[in-house]
Amino acid sequence: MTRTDSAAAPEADAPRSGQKQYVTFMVGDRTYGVDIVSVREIKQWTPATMLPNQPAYTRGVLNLRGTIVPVHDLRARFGGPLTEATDTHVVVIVWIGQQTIGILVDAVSDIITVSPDDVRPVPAGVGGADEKAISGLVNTEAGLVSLLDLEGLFAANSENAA
Amino acid sequence: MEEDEDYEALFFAECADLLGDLQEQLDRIADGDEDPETINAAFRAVHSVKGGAAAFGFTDLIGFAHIFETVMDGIRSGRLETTPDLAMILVRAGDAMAHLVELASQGGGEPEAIVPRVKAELEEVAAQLGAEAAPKPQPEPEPAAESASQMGEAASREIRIRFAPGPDFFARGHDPLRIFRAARELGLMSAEVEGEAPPLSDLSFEACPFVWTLTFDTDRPDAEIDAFFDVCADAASIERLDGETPTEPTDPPTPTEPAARKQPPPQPAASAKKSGSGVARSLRVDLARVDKLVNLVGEIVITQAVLAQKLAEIDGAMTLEAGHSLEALNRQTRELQESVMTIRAQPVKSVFSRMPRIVRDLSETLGKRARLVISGENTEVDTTVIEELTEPLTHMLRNSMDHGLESAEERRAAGKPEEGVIHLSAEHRGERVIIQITDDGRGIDRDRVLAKAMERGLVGPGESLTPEEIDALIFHPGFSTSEKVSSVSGRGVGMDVVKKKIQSLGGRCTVRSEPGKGTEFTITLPLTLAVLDGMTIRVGSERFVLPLSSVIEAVRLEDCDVREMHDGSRMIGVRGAYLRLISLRKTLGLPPADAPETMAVVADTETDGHVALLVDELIGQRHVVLKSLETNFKRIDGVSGATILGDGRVALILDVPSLASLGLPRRTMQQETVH
Repeated sequence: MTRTDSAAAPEADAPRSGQKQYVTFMVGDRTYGVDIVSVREIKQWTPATMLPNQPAYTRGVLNLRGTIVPVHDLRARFGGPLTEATDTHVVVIVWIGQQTIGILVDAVSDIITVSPDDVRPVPAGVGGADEKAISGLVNTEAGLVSLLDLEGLFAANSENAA
Repeated sequence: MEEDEDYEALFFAECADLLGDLQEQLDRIADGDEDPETINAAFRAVHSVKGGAAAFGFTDLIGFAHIFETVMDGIRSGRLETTPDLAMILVRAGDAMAHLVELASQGGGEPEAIVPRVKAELEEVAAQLGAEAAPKPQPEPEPAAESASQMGEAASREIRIRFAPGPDFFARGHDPLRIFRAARELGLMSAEVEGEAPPLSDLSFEACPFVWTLTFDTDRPDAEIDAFFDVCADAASIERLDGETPTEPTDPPTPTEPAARKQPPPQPAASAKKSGSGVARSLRVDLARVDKLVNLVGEIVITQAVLAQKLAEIDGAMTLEAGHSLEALNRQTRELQESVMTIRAQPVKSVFSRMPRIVRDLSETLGKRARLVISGENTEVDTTVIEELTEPLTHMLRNSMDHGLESAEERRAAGKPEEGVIHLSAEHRGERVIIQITDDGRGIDRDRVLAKAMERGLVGPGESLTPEEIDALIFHPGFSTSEKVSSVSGRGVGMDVVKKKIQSLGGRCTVRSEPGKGTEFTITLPLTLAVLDGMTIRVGSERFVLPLSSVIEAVRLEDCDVREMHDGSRMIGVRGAYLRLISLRKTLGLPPADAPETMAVVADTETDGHVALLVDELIGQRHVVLKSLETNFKRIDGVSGATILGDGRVALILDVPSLASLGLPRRTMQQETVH
């Protein structure tokens, strides 16, 4: 799989000032995006080692070149069933603050460049209990992209961390 | 200023080394060692501490180090005789200086009573030297200093000093700016600079092209000013432009060879440093860099294992040559791993050397005479372990001093020498380090311990305990038998804290006692926290690693008597004793099994005896590299960390004590969850 920083290289897509780039990926028929700055790499799914007594969406831990990285199932995190992960599924490795985590998704689709003006707020009351999970919405030619708030989604998992 | 703090941190790090050495040399002197090299080394340590202190302006420390140095110099030059009394003063002075350094590192504070007292003792000794505590940091003081100190002291006057850094001025760690800043304390009024910086292309980073003329308006004695500059006299030429010192105004301003040659005859301190026997060639390296290396090597070990496995899977790939090369690679990576781990290893001396001071302080507070005998201080342990050892060792020594050793009268009555002896020793035994603290005191008072334990409900009225079990009670949380709560060891924190700490380091702590003869505490520690000997087990489709240190034995269920209790909990009879049977599957939330487990591993919980853990398969023993789950996730109950197995998959390392408490009702949970 390609390192994202080289994937971001195409000149035409280079962000102008104020614009931000997002890596988008699919879970079912929905598209989500995360700020490209926080994406470390994209990896093919390999079975994770389970962690005892964790929420179901925490699939376990992976060996990422010697460091132990937890993997969370985005579908399950949003209340869906556990993803039946196969070789074609991917894990997006992202940074949240000091920690590195993986997010299990169906497939990576694109890198989009977005002006701050194009980001629409999530209407109040939409998103259920996970209102904080989505930081904004972007309408693209390919459809609606929900921008993930990684901190809001997964940082709670690490509140006990040293 | 931030940069200054960096230097300060470096100074304190160096001080720790210097003080450790000093303590050792002073102890040797106290033992009657009259080797001039020992005395010189001690003198150098005091001198270096003073030098650093002067550069940072730690006034209390400078004052103390100064008088200390004067006395050491008196001994070095043979003008003072090292009587046992003097040796004891020196040892105390070492303690006091350590205390002052500690204060300075904490940003100041009121020194303890020992400081002024010892200082007075030193001053008294220095008075015998005749020169009212005049600093003679060198055995052959410069004539200038000698004659200058004969001139009146107190009058305010102007002194001009020519300060010419030598070629190795910076290399020796001096900084003119810092020196001048500190000199302001002495009344530095102005500094004129001569010399020109060469063009950048020719600029040498090592040499200082400038010469300064410093003008002091001061009422300090000349000797004090000379002593101040003495700190950098090894690397700079320092001349008085007034008074007796001949001036050479015609000298070129560039302090190259001629300037350097004008230096006073090489100081013994400087020259001895090079030839000194105790100076090992070493390098100060940031721990993070070493850890990076340790991690990398850990990965190589895993990659190598993966490679071997993959090659074996390819038909025909594993030729004889390939096999040999792989074998060699295997050996080399192991060796590499071991070598890297030794970088992290440090002698326990750095911890042990702090202990004599604690014993001395305590024998004063408690009014008990005690001697600490240390052996095996060169035993090496992982640096993380060392850092964590100070607290439990201090605590155990306090315990021995407070509860173990009797008062002088009691000892006399028991026919023992009045002075109690505590042995502190360290040695390697296989993959572990054994640290023992043995005292020749009264031993554990079992009647009192038992009475206390019953009073607290730790032991039921009908229970009969073996003497060993009674002794082990002192590790129980909140247990303290001291009749009166003393400031020494009865502060509500007992030996249980020690035990917890040792356990958190992957070690064990045991006690053996003989009434009237003494008590022996034994700490067993792993050599390193980065590598662990583990037993790999399988439960369902997951593999786990149990630390070998907590595994007692493995049993087949069909050979044992398995009983179910009224509440559904199960027990297993192993050689006459019943153990709690824990289903790892259930405790760890794994999917239910197709077939019941057939094996159990008997493991030690350290606090609550043995338990039996149900497993599907024992895979084997292996050396594993410890990885933290907390780096990217969080602490998980029952798990102490993770490791990477030969196939690149992650396996969790189970923590038996916390695992055993996972399935327990509240009461014990509360004790166990205090981390």
